[in-house]
Amino acid sequence: MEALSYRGVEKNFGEVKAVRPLDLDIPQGAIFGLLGPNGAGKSTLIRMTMGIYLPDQGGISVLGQPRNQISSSILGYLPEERGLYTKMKVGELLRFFACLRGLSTAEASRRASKGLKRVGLEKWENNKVDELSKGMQQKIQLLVAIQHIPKIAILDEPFSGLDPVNTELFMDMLDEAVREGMTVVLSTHQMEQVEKLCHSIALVNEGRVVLQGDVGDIRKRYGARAVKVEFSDGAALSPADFESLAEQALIHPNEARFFLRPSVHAGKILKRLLDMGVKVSKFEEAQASMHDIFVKVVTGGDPGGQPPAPTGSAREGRKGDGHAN
Amino acid sequence: MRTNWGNIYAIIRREFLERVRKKSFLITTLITPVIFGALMVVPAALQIVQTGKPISVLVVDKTGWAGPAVIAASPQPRHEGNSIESKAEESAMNAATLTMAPAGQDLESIKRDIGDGKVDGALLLEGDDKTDLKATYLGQNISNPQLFQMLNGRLNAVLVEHRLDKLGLDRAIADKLKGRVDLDSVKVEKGGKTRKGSIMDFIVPIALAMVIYMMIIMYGVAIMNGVLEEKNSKVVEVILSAVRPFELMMGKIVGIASVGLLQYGIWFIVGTSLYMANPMNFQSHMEGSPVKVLQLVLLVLYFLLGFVFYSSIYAAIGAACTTQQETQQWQMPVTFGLIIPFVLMMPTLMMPNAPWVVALSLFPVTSPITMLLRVGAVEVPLWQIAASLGLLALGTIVVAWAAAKVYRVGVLMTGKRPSIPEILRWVREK
Repeated sequence: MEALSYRGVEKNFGEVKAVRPLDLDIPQGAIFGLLGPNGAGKSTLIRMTMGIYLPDQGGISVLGQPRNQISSSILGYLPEERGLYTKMKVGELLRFFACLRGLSTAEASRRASKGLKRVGLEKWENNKVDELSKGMQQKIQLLVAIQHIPKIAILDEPFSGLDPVNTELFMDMLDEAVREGMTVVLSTHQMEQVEKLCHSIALVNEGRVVLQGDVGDIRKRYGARAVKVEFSDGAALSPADFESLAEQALIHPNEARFFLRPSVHAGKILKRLLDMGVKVSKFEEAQASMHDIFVKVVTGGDPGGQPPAPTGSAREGRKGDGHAN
Repeated sequence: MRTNWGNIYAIIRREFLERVRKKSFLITTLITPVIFGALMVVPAALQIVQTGKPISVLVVDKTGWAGPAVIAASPQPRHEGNSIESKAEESAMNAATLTMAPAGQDLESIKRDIGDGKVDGALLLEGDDKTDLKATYLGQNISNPQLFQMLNGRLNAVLVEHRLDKLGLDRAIADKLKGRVDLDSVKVEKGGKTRKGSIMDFIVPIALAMVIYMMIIMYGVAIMNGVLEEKNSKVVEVILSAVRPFELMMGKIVGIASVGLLQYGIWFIVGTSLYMANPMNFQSHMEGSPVKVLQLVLLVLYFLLGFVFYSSIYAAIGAACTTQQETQQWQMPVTFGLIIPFVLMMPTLMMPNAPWVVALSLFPVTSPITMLLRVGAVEVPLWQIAASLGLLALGTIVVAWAAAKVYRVGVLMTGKRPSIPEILRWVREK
């Protein structure tokens, strides 16, 4: 049984199509990465999952049950825009949210103290939320999302604004939670986290799932065909110069990444560069990182074999020769 | 999804405890009665206790008979005993000292003296064959009703005396003729039961309507600001991921209403015990309280329904706006519904069964206040009370339903201010 399953889910705001008919299955018991650029429809999808918005069309099921029939204790949520009652005491706030998730008052108290201890804030239980630093408030926000040990926790950008130490703490806590059987849906832009944490991902763009699957598979699928070059005088280069060799070329002043067309050998890129008089200082045929794949898919083409997305969001002219198929 | 009462309870609890524990709650609970007491007592006390010297009035007598009589006159007090009215009358009597203008001084120089502030005012008495007395007051300050009331009393007493003298009537008969009558009011209730009316008959309905008005305004606006705060602090998204918008809105309204009821309950109990603690008041209380049980029951019913009615609208306003300034222009028309019955308070009390008053007391927007005023003034037919409450309950359901729709969409909206057509679309959305 899938943790979350979306069938033909659609949501419009007036003329804006936030989520187009979308199908997606999120497996149980792992960290699932929900990726996508800003405005891709992730937050709308998450809000529909949390029951904050109702889909215009289609259905969402949670652990096999229709969304509107599940108990609120099954889900946990950390929204992208943080929000806590700033005038409440930390302990009371945690207990309040635990009660909203169906815990008894006694159990809520127990979980609140346990949670505060886990994030090292047990001394702050009786302080008001607005006396806490931003990082501390974010820890509280994470506790609000997972203290009731939901079956599924949806965390929207949980690491943004965290220092490295707290980022590690959060990652550890998520690992622990998953080991105990929680399914975590992680929405983030930070691809290193995705590589470290996620088992599988879905990449959403313009309201559609444009790429989904196992992180390892995806990297393998795209990885062998990427080339990374460093140079010192590439200002004159343009993606058009490489159209016949690369599906997409991401060119910056001192480095470039190329995603090779099928059956093109990496050496041809090097040759083209040298022919153009570029002083290449480093050349490697690297496995594409999730970062590369993200950028490539969002700005370039559409590897999933679905119709190409409208290209309105391509930025900075980085869009190379997309539509590879 | 069914309504989750546990969630509503948790929200009520949070709203109630957070607000009751605040210092500001303690302070308003303590300060408000003091301010109100001061507002009622101080002006009355100022009327009774004369501060400063009495007003000096020169009497300029051109009649040859009226001047000395006016100075000497002491009109019969209309009220007797130790009541507030008689005390006020007594102090009015002493509010001014009248002296004859020096024989040589002409009117022009007296006017100059008044203008220069050497003397407060002058009473010019004239008379001819047709009008036996014509009186004019000249002064820098001609807006002192207490002074005019006193002068009027003296002048009329003197004039009556003068006319009686001219008729050459026997003194004893003359005194009899001067006797006055005071109008007493007796309230007749169902079944011909009567009780003596008092000033309380007038004050009680107004006070009850005032209580409703104040509570709705104070706590309705508190709800609006609470919604706005949750919206702007983004906490609302976390809450709405666990509860339905309707549950959040209702929990908020009921939680804050409980704070209001607690506060008014404290005031009521403290006020009543202080009132009863005074043996004199206790006695008069036993004689027949103008506050009927029905009125208190209706007060609570109209408060509960009216509060939900209005605070749903306030909650929707808070949800549709993003700043306090924005809320103000929306609040205005809502407040009108509460202010109009107050503007029409006097005619309402004077003709509580006029068709338009009955209509206002049935119409849900104005009914809480107008009906309480009517019930205080007369016996309102039971069917009208039932119809009024029924319509208000119906109106409250409709308004709360529409407000919940606006709330649901608005509370997650940021940025652009919605227009009225947009808000109406939110209501129609499924």
